[in-house]
Amino acid sequence: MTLVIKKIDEKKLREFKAEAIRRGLTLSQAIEEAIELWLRRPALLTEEDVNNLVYVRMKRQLEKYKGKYVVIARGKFLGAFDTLKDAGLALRKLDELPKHAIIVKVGVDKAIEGELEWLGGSIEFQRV
Amino acid sequence: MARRVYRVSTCMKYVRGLLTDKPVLKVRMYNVFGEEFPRKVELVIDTGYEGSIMLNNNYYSFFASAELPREMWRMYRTLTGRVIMRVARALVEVGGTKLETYVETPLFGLGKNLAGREFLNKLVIVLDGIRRETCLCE
Repeated sequence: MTLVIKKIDEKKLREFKAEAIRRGLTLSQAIEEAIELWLRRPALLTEEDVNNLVYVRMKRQLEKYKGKYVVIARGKFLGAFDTLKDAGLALRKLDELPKHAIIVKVGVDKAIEGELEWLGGSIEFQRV
Repeated sequence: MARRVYRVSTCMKYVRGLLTDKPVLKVRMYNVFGEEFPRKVELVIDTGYEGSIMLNNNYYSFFASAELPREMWRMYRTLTGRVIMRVARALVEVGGTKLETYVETPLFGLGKNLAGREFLNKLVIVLDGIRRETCLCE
């Protein structure tokens, strides 16, 4: 089947094509793969999405807990704790152990500006 | 010439690679609930990896209950392009000491089990290539 798409962002398309080439795929194979991934993605928010949303909303308020472990799970702020062990105990008090939770040590865990490196150190021979 | 003597506390055998053996650290790992990962994890020593500990996706899910927010996930420059890594907290027991550390796994792709520079820089390690042993020193 032939598909014509209009008004697509040129920069994004260029990046997409380059990535497809890097992965050894034709453009149509890459588009098919992307469609499949998008369709498989649940429409509702996951537990992980909800926890991250809560974190983003509370980010400013959390600054007062500098040096403490802040815990967010089940879409709720569970508290700020002195040790990782205490943070774990707070999570254990939930009815069921959560598969996902956010734990941030305020003022210690930071977003890293720029790119870190992962060079060729882990490249291995492979039997063909 | 300056000399330095390292006192070895534990040594771990290299594991077999296809062409040559590879230095590994065998560690016990714990999640935020204090649960021990079901088996010892063999981390290949990778000084080309700037991060802490990389785990494959399966292993990483054991630690996802102490994940950092998405804005703190990391971006790596590799030989074939950029890789985004999810980041979580874990406890690692190595040479009788428990260390709090970050564990990472690629957002896309399977990942590997590696010990990177951020973690290695907390340890004194001798790579004895002749004996094929990674030795932790005091």
